[in-house]
Amino acid sequence: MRTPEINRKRFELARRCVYVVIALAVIIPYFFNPKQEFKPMAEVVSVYEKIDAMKPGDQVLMAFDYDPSSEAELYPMSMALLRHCFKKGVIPVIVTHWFAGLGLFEKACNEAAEDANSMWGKKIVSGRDYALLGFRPGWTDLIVKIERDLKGAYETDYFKQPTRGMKALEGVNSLEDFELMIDLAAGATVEFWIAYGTDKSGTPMAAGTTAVSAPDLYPFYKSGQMIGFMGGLRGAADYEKLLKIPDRGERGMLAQSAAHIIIILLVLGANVHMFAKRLFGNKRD
Amino acid sequence: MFLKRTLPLLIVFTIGSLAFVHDFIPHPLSGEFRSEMASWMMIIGGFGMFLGVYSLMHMHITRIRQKMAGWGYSVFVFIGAVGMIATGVYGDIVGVSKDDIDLFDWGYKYIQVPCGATIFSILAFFVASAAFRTFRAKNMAAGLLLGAAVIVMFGRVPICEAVGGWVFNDRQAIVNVANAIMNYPNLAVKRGLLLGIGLAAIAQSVRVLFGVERTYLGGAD
Amino acid sequence: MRKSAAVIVKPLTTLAVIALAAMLPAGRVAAQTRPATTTQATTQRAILAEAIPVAESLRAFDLPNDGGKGIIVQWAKPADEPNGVTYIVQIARTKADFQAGKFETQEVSPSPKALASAKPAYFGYSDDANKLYYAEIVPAAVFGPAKPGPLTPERLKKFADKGVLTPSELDRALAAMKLLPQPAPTTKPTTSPAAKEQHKLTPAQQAELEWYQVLAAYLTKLDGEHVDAEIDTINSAPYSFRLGVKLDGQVALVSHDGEPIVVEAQAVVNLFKWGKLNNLILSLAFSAVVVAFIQVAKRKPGLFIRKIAGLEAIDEAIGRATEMDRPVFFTHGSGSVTALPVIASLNILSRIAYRAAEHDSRVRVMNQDPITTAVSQEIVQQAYTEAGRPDAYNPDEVSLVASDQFSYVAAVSGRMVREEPGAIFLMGTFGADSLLLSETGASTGAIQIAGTDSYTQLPFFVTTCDYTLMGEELYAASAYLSREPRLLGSLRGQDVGKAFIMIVLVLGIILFTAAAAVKGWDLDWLRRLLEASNA
Repeated sequence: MRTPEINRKRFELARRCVYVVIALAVIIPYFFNPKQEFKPMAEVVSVYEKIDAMKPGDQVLMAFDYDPSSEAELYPMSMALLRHCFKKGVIPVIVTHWFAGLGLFEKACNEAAEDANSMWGKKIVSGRDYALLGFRPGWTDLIVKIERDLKGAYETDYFKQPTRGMKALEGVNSLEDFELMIDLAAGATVEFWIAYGTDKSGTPMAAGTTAVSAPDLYPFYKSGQMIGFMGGLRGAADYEKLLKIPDRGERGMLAQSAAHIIIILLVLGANVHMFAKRLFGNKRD
Repeated sequence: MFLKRTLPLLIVFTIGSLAFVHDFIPHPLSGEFRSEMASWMMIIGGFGMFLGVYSLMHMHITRIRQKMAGWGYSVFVFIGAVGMIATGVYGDIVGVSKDDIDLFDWGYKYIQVPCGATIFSILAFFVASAAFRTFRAKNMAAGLLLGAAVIVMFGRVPICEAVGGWVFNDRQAIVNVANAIMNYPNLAVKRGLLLGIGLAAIAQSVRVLFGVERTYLGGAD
Repeated sequence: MRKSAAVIVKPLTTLAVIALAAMLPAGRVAAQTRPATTTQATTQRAILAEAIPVAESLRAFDLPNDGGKGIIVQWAKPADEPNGVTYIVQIARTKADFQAGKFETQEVSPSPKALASAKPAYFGYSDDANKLYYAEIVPAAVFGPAKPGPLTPERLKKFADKGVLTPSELDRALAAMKLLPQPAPTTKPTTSPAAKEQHKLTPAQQAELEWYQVLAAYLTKLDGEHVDAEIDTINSAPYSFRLGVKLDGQVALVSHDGEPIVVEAQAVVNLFKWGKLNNLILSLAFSAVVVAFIQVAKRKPGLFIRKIAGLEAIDEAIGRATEMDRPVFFTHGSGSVTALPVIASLNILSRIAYRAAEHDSRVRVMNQDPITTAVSQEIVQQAYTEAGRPDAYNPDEVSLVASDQFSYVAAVSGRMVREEPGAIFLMGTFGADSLLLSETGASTGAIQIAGTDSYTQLPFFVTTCDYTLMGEELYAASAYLSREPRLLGSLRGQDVGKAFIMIVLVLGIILFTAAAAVKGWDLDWLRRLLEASNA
């Protein structure tokens, strides 16, 4: 019988070993940048195709419901979506439930606007080519409010400009007036948007989440409540590939491959160890 | 008793029932009512933040005053809060010229963003550690789960396409199996869970609406 | 989506329409736009005549299930619809406006989406819906209200005339207006925030400019409200409609005896969304079953409830924490108090606090939402009072930790490592924080009991916690812990609902499998009947 103290020490040792291996698996691939061939997933392709089929001047409501903690996975998605919108002349209207992410969203808009200028010679102006409406409290209540009266929920945008009369919001008064709604979520907001927003207004919806939460979205995707979604860094990489603008998503794929393989090997190794113990009659565990 | 029990329960029943029927009534009045309720909730939420901040500050002041274990961390709460508020207010009132460093932006970009990302990235280590410790094919069901997990994990990274092409002469072979696992067995289980949770949530709502469940008002009857 | 299609075709002159109507085959075709050579014209007219819908099928009526915004124009799909044909709906305020050429048009291209069957909420589930086209008309989108332009000195004066601004406010606004950068920006450039522009102004001027911006926002809001009121007026008026067919630039109107047919309709405010009737019936039926079982349970207490290990272990976990002289940690995750799992977790908190007070153990409740904090404080205080230990309650032990998800995780994890709790309860709504908290908790050696309906997080809890309440088990907690007959009764009602869904699922699978095997057996109507409509 092993004492709890020994068990605890073994637990700590195993943990530390796993951490070191994972750290190496994630860090080392960042020094290499080989070209990787992969086919974008169908759920990402449908989001891309929806935006690609839009006309200039169409508006997309984007809820960037994340903060710096999930920046690694969701920021590349935001960039890919904004670049695509600016390229097509589609107007992204950005709202958020997470005030701590506002600085990131402003940065994303500025960076995508600069890219649009350098890549396609387009001068992107806030209030005309996009609207960053910013944060309001209320969670589900904010969604209910936006579903009915967007300009009532946001009388001014993030830059304190009045939303009524804003060119980017011309013709949109409520959620049903948008061609598409996309929620990039680090938390549970996707379900809120479906239940309180798009299911009522009938607006097509897409989403992007961290890889941990991506399996959550399959029931909604398969039931048609969502036209598609991006899951984790792989989702961002797929979108970048479709857009043909490689960035952090595609670059992160090698590290992700390495980490997944290491975890698989660790799990398989632990199982081999367990079977070996059983085979040789070691019943201490 | 009336103010602590009967009135709150009446409010819950009335507003809850109206919120329920709102979904079925397209009349503008119904929409305005829901919109008005949403505004009230947002305002109450804003005031709630004051309560929260008071509770947070009170707790940390007590910890510092009583020199409780780890009180030094409480000092950091104040340094962070006061520092960010001060730089934010300064930037807003006095303004920061283009050439100067905006300390608020600096704190956000170089402290909050990396700290948040660090905490999130710990998840990768924890997932690996938890999987390593607990994923054992101890019986048939656990073995199936392990097999599915390995295929899905491998099927989600680009390298699987190269391996699929090499082993099965079809780059999408492993991806397709991973997708099938996600689209069918995974989805079936999730739908089952969702239906159960949905029914339980409706039952819970009925209990709350009719005042059968009232612990949330502060303790039992 | 109710965003109206853009008005593509500009109105034809009415005289031309009437003159050309006489040239077209009697009864159905009423107009064409431009003369063609004789042979071409004859062929075109023949094709066009085939494309004209039956006159009797043209109808206009209020858009159902809405708040008085839209009107539906509906017509039959011609039996031989030529390729390249589009339908045009002409909309006028009155019948006479057609004669005066004062009308707008909306185009409808033939596609499955334009068929009435695409909107069962409006047209039902019959096969006839596959033979009808429809156009959704929102009058305000067609005859939109005049847009108020940007604020100018003249418009400010008009606001003053209406009494919105006092004379002194008008003077102040006009003076402040001159401080605006020229030309006055209605939008803000991406890379040059207005704050930087304002640096050139004195602090007094800047204050005036800020005052003006607040005033401008208020006046723009007034403008918006005025426009909204106008939209309502426009939408609620009656309108006249004509239908035409367009092929290769030629337009022919649906007519009777050479006279274009005009139909009229008015949008009205509806009181019920009929498309959601199925939802309402099922919700009410299920609620009724739950209420009925609550009543039954009141008369016949002692309903059986299966053992839930996670809830059985609560007392054991608190006992162990007491023995080890360590605190008990409780977290609601990231949900606010409006989230049902959080309400359910509050019930469990009440029980835990009561037990901890009895055992003289400390409970630390760490929250991410301020209102949940306030409610938790109330509940814990009440539990301590009921346990006869009101003096032991310390509000600092139930506090807000951080409202940001990962700041919260960092703070709670830090306290777990430093204070080494004896038991940790993770109950409520969780996202990526689930594994971060539970893995840290596992490393401290505490007994961990988790409960959530965030089903993606369940695998993480199962691997790292000693007990996990899965999905609906969390909602059953209050009934299980209190053994209150009424609450147990509601669980029985829930089981009946589940049995019903299971029977429907099995029957559905059998029926649809059989329908796939038997040729000509279409069960699409059944699927659509159960589908909730978004209309």
